[in-house]
Amino acid sequence: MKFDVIVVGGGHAGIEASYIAGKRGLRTLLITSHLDLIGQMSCNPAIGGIAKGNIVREIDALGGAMAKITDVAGIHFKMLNQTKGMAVWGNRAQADKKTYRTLARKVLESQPMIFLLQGLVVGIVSEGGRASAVMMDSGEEIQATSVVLAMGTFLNGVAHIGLTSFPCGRLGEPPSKYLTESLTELGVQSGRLKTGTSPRIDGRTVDHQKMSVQHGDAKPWPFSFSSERPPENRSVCWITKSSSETHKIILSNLDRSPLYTGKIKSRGPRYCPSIEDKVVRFGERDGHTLFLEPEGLDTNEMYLNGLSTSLPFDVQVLLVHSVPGLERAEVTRPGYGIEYDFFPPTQLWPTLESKVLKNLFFAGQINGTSGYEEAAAQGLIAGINAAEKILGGELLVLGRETSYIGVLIDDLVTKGTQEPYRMFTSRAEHRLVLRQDDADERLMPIAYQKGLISKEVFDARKRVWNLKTEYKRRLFDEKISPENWNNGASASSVIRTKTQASQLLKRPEVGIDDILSAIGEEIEDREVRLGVEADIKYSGFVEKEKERLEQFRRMENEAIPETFEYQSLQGLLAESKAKLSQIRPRSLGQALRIPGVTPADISVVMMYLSKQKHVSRETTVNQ
Amino acid sequence: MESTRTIAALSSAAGVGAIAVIRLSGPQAFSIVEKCIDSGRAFRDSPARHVKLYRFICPSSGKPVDQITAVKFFGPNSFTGEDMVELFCHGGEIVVEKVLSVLIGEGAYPARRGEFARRGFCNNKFDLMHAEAFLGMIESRSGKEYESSLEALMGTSAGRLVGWRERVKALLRDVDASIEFPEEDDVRKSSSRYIERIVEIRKEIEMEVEARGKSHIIEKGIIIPIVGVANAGKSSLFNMLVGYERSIVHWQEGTTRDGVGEEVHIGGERVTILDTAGLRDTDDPVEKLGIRKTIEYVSKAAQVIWVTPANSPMTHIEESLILEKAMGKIAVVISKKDLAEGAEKAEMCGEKKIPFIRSCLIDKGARDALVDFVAEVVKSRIGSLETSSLIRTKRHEIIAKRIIEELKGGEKAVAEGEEILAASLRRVLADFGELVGDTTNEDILDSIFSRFCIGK
Repeated sequence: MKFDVIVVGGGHAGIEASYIAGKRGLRTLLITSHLDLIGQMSCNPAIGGIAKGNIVREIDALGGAMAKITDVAGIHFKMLNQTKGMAVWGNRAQADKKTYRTLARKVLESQPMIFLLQGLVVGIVSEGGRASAVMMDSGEEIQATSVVLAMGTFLNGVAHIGLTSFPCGRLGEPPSKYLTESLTELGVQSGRLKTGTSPRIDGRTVDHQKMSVQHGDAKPWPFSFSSERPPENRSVCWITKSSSETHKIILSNLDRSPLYTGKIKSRGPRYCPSIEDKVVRFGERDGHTLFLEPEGLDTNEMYLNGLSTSLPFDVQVLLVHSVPGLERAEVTRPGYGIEYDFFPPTQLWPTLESKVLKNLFFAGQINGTSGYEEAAAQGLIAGINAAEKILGGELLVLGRETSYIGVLIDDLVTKGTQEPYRMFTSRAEHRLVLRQDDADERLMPIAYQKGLISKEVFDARKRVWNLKTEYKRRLFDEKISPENWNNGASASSVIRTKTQASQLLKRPEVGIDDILSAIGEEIEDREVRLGVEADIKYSGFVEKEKERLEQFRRMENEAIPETFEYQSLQGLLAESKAKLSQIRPRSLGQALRIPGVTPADISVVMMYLSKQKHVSRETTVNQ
Repeated sequence: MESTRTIAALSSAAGVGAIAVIRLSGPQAFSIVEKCIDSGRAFRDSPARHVKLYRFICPSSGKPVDQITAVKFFGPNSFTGEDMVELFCHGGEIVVEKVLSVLIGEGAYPARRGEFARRGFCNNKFDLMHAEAFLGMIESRSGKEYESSLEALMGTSAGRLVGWRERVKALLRDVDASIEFPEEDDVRKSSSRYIERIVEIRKEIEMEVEARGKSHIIEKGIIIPIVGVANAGKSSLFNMLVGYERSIVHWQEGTTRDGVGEEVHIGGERVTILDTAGLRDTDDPVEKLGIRKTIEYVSKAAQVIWVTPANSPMTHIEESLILEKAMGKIAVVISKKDLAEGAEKAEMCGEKKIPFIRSCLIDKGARDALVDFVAEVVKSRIGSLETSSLIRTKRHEIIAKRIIEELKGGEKAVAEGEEILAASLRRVLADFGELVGDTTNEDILDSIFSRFCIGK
């Protein structure tokens, strides 16, 4: 049995990796411990959010599956931050978990070159410095040219509920053993992280009178740039708060908390703390907000977002009952903390290929990230590059200035991570040029050129871009006269002379609709209308950032050869040498981002680089 | 590469002194000195920061050169961050030259100007502000300059700078938190007062930049014109303060037509004393020009000394040109022939709270009292000038002005949107980075998580 690409793990990373490899016509095998749980959402039933929604759009622009599945499986859509500028909008959907799984599997099965296999991978077989096969628990070897690892929290997973702990990959599923040991033997280093999830409750036992309802948007936005029909809201979420009683219960039970008794030693995410952490670190405040999210349409089960905990089950029941509206709620599944192996991602190239073993790719939570979207993004890039290794094309590395995916992977391989890594818009230094609405314009040209999206999809989007360009030109050419404008305009936006429509639109208090009605124009498509507005409104600020952006690009383009020898460099501290040799940055820009490497170090490297260039030029002349 | 070279230089002032300090820094600092010491092993075995007496020899001839003490510093715990030796020899010029030439003969390179400090900076031993502070300390020529450098060196003023940066960081933290976590109650409550907070920081920095203008004056030394009617004794006072006859003293009125200036140290401060043309009605065009210049000096100067004869009434020219224009920055020398004279003028000064002295300028014995009087005047004047210990160099000034402009942009950006404001604040932090070190996006996130309870 031989495959082009083997993907280990059927979570969000594994789905994207196998999907894109299969789409490119490569014989691809997805191995998972449970075929019916492909695309399981292990934690909350939501896709997207601030920054994360942007990643989903980027995945779609690059030919991935997540956006399309979400548009159909979603039952509650909300574009967050709509009161702020479009650069920081983020779409979020509550998804029906079962539908999501069904669709994910269907998407994979629709590809003739993708094959599925239920089983446990226990080892990686290498040959001549490259991965050549995976070893199954049956002892059988399955050969492949490229291997993508995406095992999530399954590796040596240990769940904690109170002071009880037991091996587990996800509640109710066995962990994956031996694989970490196999990788360690090959020279890959591993570490340990912690994450957690909340109890689920029976929706029939909830008193909605004591909660406020959260509806989706009146007109939901799709995630995919080529979704066939608009997404629909089919359910609602509920908002409540913890009480002073919750606070008391937690404080009086800390001696039974695995977090506070020191039983859990690994680091968990600060942005998603357990309720124990929130209460201990921030006190009661006036209650901590909690969200009730439907797990699906044909189940009553609800996810209690904000109440992640690893306290004992009996305490969890008390906690739930202390929340207004949940006094009589039945817990269907306990929350739990989970510790698992990860592989510090500084051991990877920005292509997500291992520096230790060629043709071996790592994606998702095993790289120290958290979140479905972050996992999917890595799976996609790993899959693209695992395929590219076979097809012989150039491997794909996205820049920090072109995508959140670029920021994500660059952060991981350059800085590593101490806690489960989640994307935030503020991680991107060029946030204003990474809007969720123009991810297609940023990435589709690359995707099309690499054969990741079809001509039809690309052409359809090109028509949208052309339309936007046309309208922008019109607003640039069109002048608005005071007579047409001042009537009804607010005091601050009054004009005295004929003013360019686009110039007027740049004023903070003026919106695109004001402009369109003044010039007697209409743009029916909401996406085009708001895209045009954002492009014009941001143009001045983007111009202001241009210098910084160009400086950034210059440093990114100063390539450092992969074989560059730091040890022999004079003038570098031993510590800097060690860091540079470990990360082996591909550019001076990346080198500067390595924690602890100083600008002085970089100037030394720069000098040697220019010297080398000089020497190689001379040798060429001599030949 | 240069920093693998071991460098050596005389670190104390050139010239004759009881002892001289020679410094070596670099990977071979220990081995070079070891070779030049009679009992090299004693030096080799000596622990860090121990002072010991050695015989310094010329290794090739074995001849003794001097008796020295030496201290080892192991990198990175040294000024440069490299292995270092501080060597104390006798302070004669010949001795120093011999010791240095032996060290260089054994492989040390003569250090270039500022090279020790540069290595320390490159090895992250201190930041640029700090390096500038101790350079300022070494080069300060006025007490005020010394004080502001000291403040910077001890970190008290850097603390204020860091304080501004921290406040911008806190602001960005609130803005970013509001962008990242729109559904968190905890965050929503604190995302306010953006404009007031920016304006507050901007105004403080503006005040500091203004003060920089004044410290600039002090760095150059303040200029004190001596003014008065013709023949009041200005040049006599000038010569007395300067210590020798520089101005031509002549009883004919109008001797000093242009200003004559001299830099002197009085009361520990560097000042330039300016002798000026006497004020009187004249038709002489050259003299007229001189008088116009004097008036200009009076209006520009931070301190003015007015010499007025005790035995003649105040002229209208003194009244209008000196008393009026220089009020608040004037000190008076009432030149008198004997004790009885000048009582009215002294009374007038007393009333107006103007510092004055009655002095017989031609009497050599009056000199000490006069110099003390002027020193006191200079001291209290400089003390009253508000200076900036933060913004001490042109570089600081340029960056501070950039920050002020960017903060003004930030005030406008509040209306344009939080993401625009955030971009503006990031640029401010990048500018602060040039002064006191960088702020990374990681720092902002850390700050968000420690300030807000996040956790949907």
